[in-house]
Amino acid sequence: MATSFVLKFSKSGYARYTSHLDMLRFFKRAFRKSGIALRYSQGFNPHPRMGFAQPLSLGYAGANELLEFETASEHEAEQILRALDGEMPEGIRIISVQAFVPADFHIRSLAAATDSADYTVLLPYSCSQEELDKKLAAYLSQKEIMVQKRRKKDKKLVAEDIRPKLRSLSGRADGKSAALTMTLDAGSTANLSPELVISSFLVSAGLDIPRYKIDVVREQINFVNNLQF
Amino acid sequence: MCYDIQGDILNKRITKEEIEKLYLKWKTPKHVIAHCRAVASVAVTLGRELNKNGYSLDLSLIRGSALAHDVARVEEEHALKGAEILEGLGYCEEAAIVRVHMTYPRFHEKDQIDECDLVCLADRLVREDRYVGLEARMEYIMNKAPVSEEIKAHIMEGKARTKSFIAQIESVIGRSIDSLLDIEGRLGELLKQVEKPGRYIGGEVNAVRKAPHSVRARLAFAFPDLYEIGMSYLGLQILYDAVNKTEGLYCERVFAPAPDMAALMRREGLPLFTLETKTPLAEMDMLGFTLQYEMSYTTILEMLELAGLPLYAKERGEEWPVVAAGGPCAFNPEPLADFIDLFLLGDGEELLPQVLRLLGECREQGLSKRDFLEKACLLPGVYVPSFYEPVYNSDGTIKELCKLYAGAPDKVLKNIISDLENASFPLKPVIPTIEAVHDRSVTETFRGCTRGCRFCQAGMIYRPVRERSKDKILALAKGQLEATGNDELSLLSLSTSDHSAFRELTLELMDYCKEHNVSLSLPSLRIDKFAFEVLSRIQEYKKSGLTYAPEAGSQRLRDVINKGVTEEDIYTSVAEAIRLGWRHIKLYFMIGLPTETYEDLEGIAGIARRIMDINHEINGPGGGRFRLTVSVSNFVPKAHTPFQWERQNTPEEFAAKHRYLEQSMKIRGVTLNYHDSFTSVCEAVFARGDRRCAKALLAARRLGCHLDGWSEHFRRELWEQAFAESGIDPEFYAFRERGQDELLPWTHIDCGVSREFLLRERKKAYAAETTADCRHGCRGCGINKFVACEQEGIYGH
Ligand code: SF4
Repeated sequence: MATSFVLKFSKSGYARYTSHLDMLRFFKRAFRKSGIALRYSQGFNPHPRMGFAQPLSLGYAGANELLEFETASEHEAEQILRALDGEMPEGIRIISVQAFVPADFHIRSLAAATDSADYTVLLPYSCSQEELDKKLAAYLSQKEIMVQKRRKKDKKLVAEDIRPKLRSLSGRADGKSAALTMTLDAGSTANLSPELVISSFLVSAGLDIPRYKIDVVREQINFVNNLQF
Repeated sequence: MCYDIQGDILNKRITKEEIEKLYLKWKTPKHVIAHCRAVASVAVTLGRELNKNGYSLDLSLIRGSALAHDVARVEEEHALKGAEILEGLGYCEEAAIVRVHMTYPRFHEKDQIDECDLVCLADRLVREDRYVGLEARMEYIMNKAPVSEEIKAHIMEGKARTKSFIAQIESVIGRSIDSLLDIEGRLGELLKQVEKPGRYIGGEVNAVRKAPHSVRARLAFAFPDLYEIGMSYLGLQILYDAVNKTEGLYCERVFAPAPDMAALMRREGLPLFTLETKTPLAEMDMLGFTLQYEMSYTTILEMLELAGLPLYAKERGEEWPVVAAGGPCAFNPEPLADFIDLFLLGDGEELLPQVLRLLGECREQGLSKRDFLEKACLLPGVYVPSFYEPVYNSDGTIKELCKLYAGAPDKVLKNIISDLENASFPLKPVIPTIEAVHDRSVTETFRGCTRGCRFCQAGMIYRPVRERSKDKILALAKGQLEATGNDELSLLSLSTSDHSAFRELTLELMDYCKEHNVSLSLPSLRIDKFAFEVLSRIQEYKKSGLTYAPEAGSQRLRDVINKGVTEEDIYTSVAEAIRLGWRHIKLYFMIGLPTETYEDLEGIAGIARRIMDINHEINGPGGGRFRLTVSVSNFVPKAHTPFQWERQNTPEEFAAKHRYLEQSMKIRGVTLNYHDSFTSVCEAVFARGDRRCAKALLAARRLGCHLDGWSEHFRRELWEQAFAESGIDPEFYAFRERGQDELLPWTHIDCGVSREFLLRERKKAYAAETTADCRHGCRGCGINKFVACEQEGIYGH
């Protein structure tokens, strides 16, 4: 029995086009419907203690997404899983629920402990493995990878080197398409969006592929202290 | 055996019903049946597209032979066997196609494409029960079993031939076959480019999934506005539920795409599709539009366009779905008569499934669309416009309405559900994925209203009042809240406080909602003593402000429109509200009402001033942070009301009145809102328009009008141009008083309220005489000829 949990779910198919806020609304409702009361924050505008480890961009699939939440009373993880299962729209599947107390691992929350994330990017790019490897090597051998980025605070475009935040990048080609696998900084200290890697790689590789033909899957979120779910 | 056939036998086509029997008899496996159906739908879609480009292919032949092509799949030499079976029944042309489908040697050249070409092509594009395209299908065949080099070469040759045939078809239809058939494969790319992709994905909790081929009739419920608007509309949920509850019927949904999506779909040639199964609308048996407001009409045309359907009903042959429409605006259906095959009038939760069942039966028996319409028009509430034709006088008014089909009723009476208590109501409404305008559970408490406001169409066309019992309402509300996890509940009716058990109902609901952390909202609540009791207990009540709708600025004019509110009532109530701490009051008025003078307008400003004074009396000279919002709408005369003969103010008259109000209401703390007057003119034209108005709609659509109910999309200059081009004069339709003996365009549509009653009410209006609610005794509106009025006289005579 516990009051603090992590729920792992996947998001695929058309559900990819459900926004982050709509996902929050959706889970909030699913909890209400299942009769499992969430714990609410104190204060003037109370809201349920529930949040995603990392928001997932609109249009991305997620293989192992994480939602942390606290319940008002004690529950078994298994019971929560059963109660929520069957309430999901097409494309959202709950993989597991487990009790998890952040303080036990000396962290405030999963969101605060997010360190990096693994992505797969699918490009409709027909090439040989050799060709792909060459393009990737050329891309990675750059000392700096400068991109234009809109700053949050004043919306100004600023140049930024993303190379230090790009932890690893490799690819597989099957002649019809290419799948890039990458691990990028994620979290509040340093964060790199796959969008910037995609656009700068396409430029470096001299590829003209419209963004809408590219699919992105977030495979996994990684945390400090080697926390795993 | 069928070499000496006569012409009429030649045209005999195998029906769906007969094919079903053959499947049974020849033990066709389920997956093979599904394959046949998929091939049929691909082949018919191609045929339909070619016919649009000048071909005249027999779509029934295509459908029949595709459905039957693998009927003998479990037999040896199934193609030959299948052909034999069909021949035995006299279907020689079908047989000829089935015979060759495995070994089809050569497709015809572009100008000689025939039915057999299309069935054989479709068979090569479908794997199992899905369109996959040539490449994927070929890959599948090559990998299915080890093949010799020789056979491989043969297959490759066949593939090349098929490829060049596809190119020929594509050059005729001007688009790729993929774009026509592979919606799912291409949708993802579009979704990545639009602002709110969640509008187009479906798959919501409680959305209904059925195997499309297992049902007898498929309906696309079409809402001519955006997803988030349509999903807040209870009528959609009621009908969706009622149809899907019925065995053999499948209701899916489609909404108007936002301009960004619509533009992409046009550019990419992706047809409008249903959310549930992503099926192109052209493949449905019926499209059902809901008509909630006149300003959605151009969006209906746009949706038909995007679906690839010919706009005019008479141009849609057998191959196209039946296009139906219902909802309040169907009570003057004439402006849409040229575009719609049949209208449904009145309560739809029983009628719509009934009409769909009939359509399914007709289709199975191989009957024509015309046969179906002839049967349908006998159902109560069904109006088939093509069975009537108006003749006009030289002054443009209607001379008479000719009936073109003798079997059609002279007058179409709306369908009435007498027992609302046991009528179908959705306990598991579809939960919108993206936030809808109203994200809440809604329970309908009663239908109809007998207060008798003379401008109000809803108050006439939904008569008589039919209630659900308190216990039923409680059960439905609880059921919905449990099934959805919603945290807000709203009651729906034309006048919340008028339910006969309103007090007990509200008290019980409040307790329930409090206990379950649900916020309760009570729209159009009459603000009396009980309301304050209730509101003071409902959480966060002071945020939203209190609403009053006096509608007119003087007692005289309120008597003219029969709005039974006195200024004293309002002032007493407002004073109480302010004392209880309300800081925001909203007032609703209408201008341009019959007999209105500037004195009545001055009355509006007077009421506003008086309310500000009351606030000062209570809150001191500073007045606190009190705000008063005065919203003024433009009167639009509506069909089936006592004011259906009245003239509407011109935009100039409205503008002058708006200016006057602005001048006289420069009061600190008072905000004045008013509506665009040209939108009201358009509304008025179509609210009382005749069939000729279709030209204006079409012109407006051609100029790019759509989503006209949104002020950001409404384009006045385009509408002015459309009226000018089509010769439709707003003067004639909107600003002219209609003669009492004039034949009105909706004379043949009967909402149950008699013309005599409307005339009587009109006369009383001019004498500023009121008519009391018939809960104090029957006023003789005429509806009780058709249904008992359970609420008559319940307040005592
Ligand atoms: S028939 Fe009489 S009781 Fe019935 S709705 Fe009309 S006025 Fe009211």
